[in-house]
Order: sequence, then C-alpha cells, then structure tokens
Amino acid sequence: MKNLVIPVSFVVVMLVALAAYAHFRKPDAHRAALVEAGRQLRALALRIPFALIAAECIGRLLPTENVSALLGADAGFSGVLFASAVGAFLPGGPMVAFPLAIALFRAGATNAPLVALMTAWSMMAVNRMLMFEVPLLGARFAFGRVVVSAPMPIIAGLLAAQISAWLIIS
Amino acid sequence: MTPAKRDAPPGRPSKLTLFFVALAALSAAALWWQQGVDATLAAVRDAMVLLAMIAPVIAAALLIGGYVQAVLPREAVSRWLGSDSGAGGYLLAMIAGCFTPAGPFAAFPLVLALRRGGAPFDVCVVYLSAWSTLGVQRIVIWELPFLGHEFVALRVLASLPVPLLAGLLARYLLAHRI
Repeated sequence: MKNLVIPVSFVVVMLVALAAYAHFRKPDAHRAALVEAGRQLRALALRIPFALIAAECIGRLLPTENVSALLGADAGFSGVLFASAVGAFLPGGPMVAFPLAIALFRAGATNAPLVALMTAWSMMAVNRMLMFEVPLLGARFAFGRVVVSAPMPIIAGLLAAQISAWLIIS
Repeated sequence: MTPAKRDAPPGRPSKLTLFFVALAALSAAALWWQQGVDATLAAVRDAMVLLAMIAPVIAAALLIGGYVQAVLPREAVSRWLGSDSGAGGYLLAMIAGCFTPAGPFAAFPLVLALRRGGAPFDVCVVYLSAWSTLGVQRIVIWELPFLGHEFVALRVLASLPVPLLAGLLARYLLAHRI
C-alpha cells in the first residue's frame, strides 16, 4: 500500500496556506472555493469507488506474462515505444488512466514504460484535445502541439529508465 | 471564468458515472467467472481500502483547486506570460503551467487569452506541456495517492526537461516554417 504521509502533509500545508491567503486578501474566495470543490466532489463521489473496483478487478484479470513481456523490465526501448502509443490514444480523464496504471503495475509493468504511458496520456489526451483545444485554439494549433509533443513520452520514458539505472547502481 | 459545466442534471448520474458502474460490474463478473467469488470479494475489499485512504486527500485537494481558481488573478497571469518570449518567458510559462488547476476549464481559456495577446506558439507549448506533465494539482490529487511518491518522484524528474524541449522544438519548427 502506498505511503500517504507525503501527499497528506503536502495537501494540508497547501490548503492552510491558500485559506490563510484568501482569509486576509480575498475573503469571498472561501465561499467560491467551497462551491467549486463541492461541485467536483459530487461528480467524483460515485465514480471513484466504481473506477477503483474496476481497476482492482481488471488488474487481477490481466494476463501477467503478456503485460511483463510488453511493458516489463525486459521490454526495453520497445516497451517505452509501445507504452507511448497506448498512452497517446488512451481516452478519458484521470479516472481511467490512474486505475489502469495501478492495474498494469500489478500485472508486471515497470517504471520506464509507465512513465512513458502517463506522459503520453497527459500530453495528448484525445478527449480534451477534441473538446477544448481544437474548438478554442484551432486545429492548426492543436496539430502543431501534437507534433512537437510526440517525441516527449519516449524521451521521458528513456530518461526514467536511465534515472532508475543510476539509482540502482549507486 | 468559464461557467461550471454540468454533465448531468442534479440527482441523476451522468453517462460517465454509468460507464464506471458498468465497467466495475463487467470486470467483477469476469473475475468471478474466471477466479471465483473469493478473488472478486478480495478485489472489492482492496478497492474499498484504497478508497478510504485516498478519499480525504482527494477532498482536500479539490478544496485547494477551488481556492486556486478563486484566488488566481487570471488576467495578470496572461499579461506576464505574453510579455517575454525568451528564456525567462519559457521559465515563467513552465511555472505558471505547474500551478494551473488540473481541469481543462482553467488552462485552455488562459492559452486563448495568451494567443490573443500575441504570445508566440512555443511559449503556449511550454505552458501546456508543463500543465499536463508537471501540474501540481493532478500530481497531488491523483498520482501520489494512486501510484506512490517513489514513482511520482521518478516521473517528475524524467518530465522536468519535457516542457522546455517541446518549446524549443516548436520554436525550431516555427523558424523553419515546417
């Protein structure tokens, strides 16, 4: 199970700092923040439990041999490449991507391909591009951004592999 | 500020919620069929344990997102970002991207304002790349509780050069009119 000390302390410090700033500089921000957080919480409250159940079940269903062959330690560069492609076309928001990442971890995927997958998913985000980027900024802008972003998941994945290797050696 | 988007009338679950309910039901049924009732119950129990651990973090982080949206001076930010297209502009765009709230409602209107204010394409690329790969809010709400701090530290370290590299590549493409 993941250690929650760092996320919890980070969240508490940030929340206290922002609330204090808002209290002295912009008192009406309290209400706006509560309303916005409540609106998002209502949307997530039902989704997260079911997303987690799906992730746990899918993680146990995934064939471990196939996942480790495609995204495991021995997959090397082709694992990073494959993960980048999967991430780039992965639809949906964090509710899909993070439970999937857990499931892949459980089934034997290693760090470098998962870094590539998360980087590709976060930079490309097909739904977000079609719903926000193209309508607001135009197809030319979106296309240009996709072109310059395409190598980035591979670079991040290879860097992650290199950093992991250094950390193990030292 | 963009008006709040409702994905369903109050009291009725949205399509996305129904999708997750269906996905959970289908995968639980498949697990039951393949590995039996004990494996399925263990999966549901593990999911509930994870939920109990991450729920307080998610709730607090949503409140943080609410405060950032309420406090952030959006016009001032877009004026700063558009004013410098050199190395300083890249750094500023990267920092702004890291601290923009996670949803697309905050980032894309800001980029639109930047473009209208004359900010070059490469600065917008730096901003959007930093927002998507290094956005603090998404890391805290989702990535830390789900994937743990070791993976997050590795991913952040490996992604640090990404916004600048993407920006430089964008500048190169612009300069060569490709």
